[in-house]
Amino acid sequence: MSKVMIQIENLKKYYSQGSIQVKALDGVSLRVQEGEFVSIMGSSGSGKSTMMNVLGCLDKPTDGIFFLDGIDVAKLKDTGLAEIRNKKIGFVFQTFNLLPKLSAIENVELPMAYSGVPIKERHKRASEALKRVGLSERMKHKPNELSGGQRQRVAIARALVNEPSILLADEPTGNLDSKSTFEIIDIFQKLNDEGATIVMVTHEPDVAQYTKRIVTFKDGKAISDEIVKNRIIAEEEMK
Amino acid sequence: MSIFENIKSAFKNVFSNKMRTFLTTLGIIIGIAAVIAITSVGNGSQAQITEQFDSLGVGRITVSLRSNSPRNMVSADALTYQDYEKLREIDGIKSISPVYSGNNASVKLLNPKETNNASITGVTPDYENIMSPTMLYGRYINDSDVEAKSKVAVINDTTAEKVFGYCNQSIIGEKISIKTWQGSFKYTVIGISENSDAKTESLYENEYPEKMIVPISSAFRLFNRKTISNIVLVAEDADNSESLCSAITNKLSEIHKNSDKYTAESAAEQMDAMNEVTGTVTMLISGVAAISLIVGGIGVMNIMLVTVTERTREIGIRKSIGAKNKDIMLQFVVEAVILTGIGGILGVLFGWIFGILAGNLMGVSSVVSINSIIMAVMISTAIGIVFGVYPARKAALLDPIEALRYE
Repeated sequence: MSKVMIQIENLKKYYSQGSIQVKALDGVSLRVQEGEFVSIMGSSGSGKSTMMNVLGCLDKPTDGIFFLDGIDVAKLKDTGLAEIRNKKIGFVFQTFNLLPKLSAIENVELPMAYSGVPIKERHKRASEALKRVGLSERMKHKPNELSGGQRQRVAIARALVNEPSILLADEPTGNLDSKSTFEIIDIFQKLNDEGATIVMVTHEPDVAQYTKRIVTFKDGKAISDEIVKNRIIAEEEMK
Repeated sequence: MSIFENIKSAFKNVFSNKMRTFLTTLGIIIGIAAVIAITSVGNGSQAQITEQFDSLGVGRITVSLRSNSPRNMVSADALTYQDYEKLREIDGIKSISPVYSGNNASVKLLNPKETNNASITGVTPDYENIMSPTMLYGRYINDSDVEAKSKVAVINDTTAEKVFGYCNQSIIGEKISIKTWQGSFKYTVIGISENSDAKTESLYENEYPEKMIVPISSAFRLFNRKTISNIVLVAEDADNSESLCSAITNKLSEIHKNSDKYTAESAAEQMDAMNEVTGTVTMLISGVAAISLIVGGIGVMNIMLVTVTERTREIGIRKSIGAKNKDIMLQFVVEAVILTGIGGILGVLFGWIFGILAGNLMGVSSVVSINSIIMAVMISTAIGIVFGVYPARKAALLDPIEALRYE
């Protein structure tokens, strides 16, 4: 029996917009085991982005149960959540979100700076992570000297470097051409093969076909949850 | 993230926009530079004043007619030789001498060489005890000189060089010709003293560099005057000088039947007064500098708020990968402190240079004390903290989701 990485039960997130109450998440339950590769789908306003923010501990749920790798995250305050983001979660964003003034390796080192890893070890681990995503040659380059696909690979290296419990990817291929999309998906699939648990938000059904399981959101609820039967392998596609 | 790494990255950020950094810190630079320049010149002149008064003898008391009310000045108030004789009777005086200063444009030393205007001072033998000059050759004026109204003079080495072209024992007994509005007089040189003003000349530019000491009675004859310029004395006990001063002014008022026309000031008091003036000026300019520092601090706060807004996305990214609120807070406070710290260091440098320039202009040595440097650095750091906390707090409390969405 593999470990439960995400355990969410009856999770609610309500916003008030003026006098109207928006039910962004309205009683979602979800369980993700270690080693899964889940895509969350849905149209805009379905609640998938809110789900991502709550999963990423950037946002606090209004109500419900949320355990991440056995930790009761729903009860944590700002500082506790920051620590979870630092150690348990690796974020990959649509817009890469690298710091433009820092080189690739410095960007990858940053999460370790916040977790107090000694500088020498940071450097070692960061170059290993960049090697894993195939960017050893461009470690000293600034983000604006890299292509979109390369930037996203730096972001993935940064997400991996603290060995998180889950990788959260929010439309990671949204800003990429199809060739780079294959490359990034390929990296995710390989990381998943090596045991990484990945949750990816996407609105592209094609991209979702590369994952192992698709959860569809609508109006703040998970309306379907199915296993991908004929999973596509990106490496084979690229040949 | 360690404080050292924060400092390193803060330097990187601060130096990536040098012009902005310079303009932002200008207020701090001006403020600190003003403080450093003023205190350095102030310290220098204070040290110089103290040294000067030390060399003059702090225990000396000068009695003179108040000069700040010329309209009420009548000849009956003027100090006379008789006043001196009466003051001599007061207890607690060690030495006392009347002084007639012939600082007049028409006084010239003619022979053997003509010189510029001279200063001729008429005194009694006690003057030697009061001024304690170093005698190089010959003797000082004595009682019989005063009694006989002898045409004798004590000159200093500078005067000797000017008039005779040399300065040695052979000048003693030589004659000097003095020209006043009373006519020409021949005086015999009886002594040569060392010029004690030489080292302090820069502070009191001496208008009458050729100095000559003559018996007071002879001075009266030279200038055809009966009044004296002032009376100098030394108290037996320096601690008593205050009560002695009031006894003297009371006595003079009694003699002249007036009130509050005379002052008796010890050198210590004059020094205090001068120090008070420099102290007040220092305080005033320090006040202006303090305002400049506050304005500078507000400038830093303003630019830090701009920086926080500009870097909202960066803050979001940092938070998303695990930066705690206090990490963000520290990052921006450190950056503000680096900004003001750079301002402080530049301020010290500019202030130092400016102090030296101003000192040269005023003829005062400028002394930058290590204390004022430490103070400047501490003040600028404190400004960075005080004015950096608000923007840093604003940054720290940003909502990570909002911050990540910021374009």
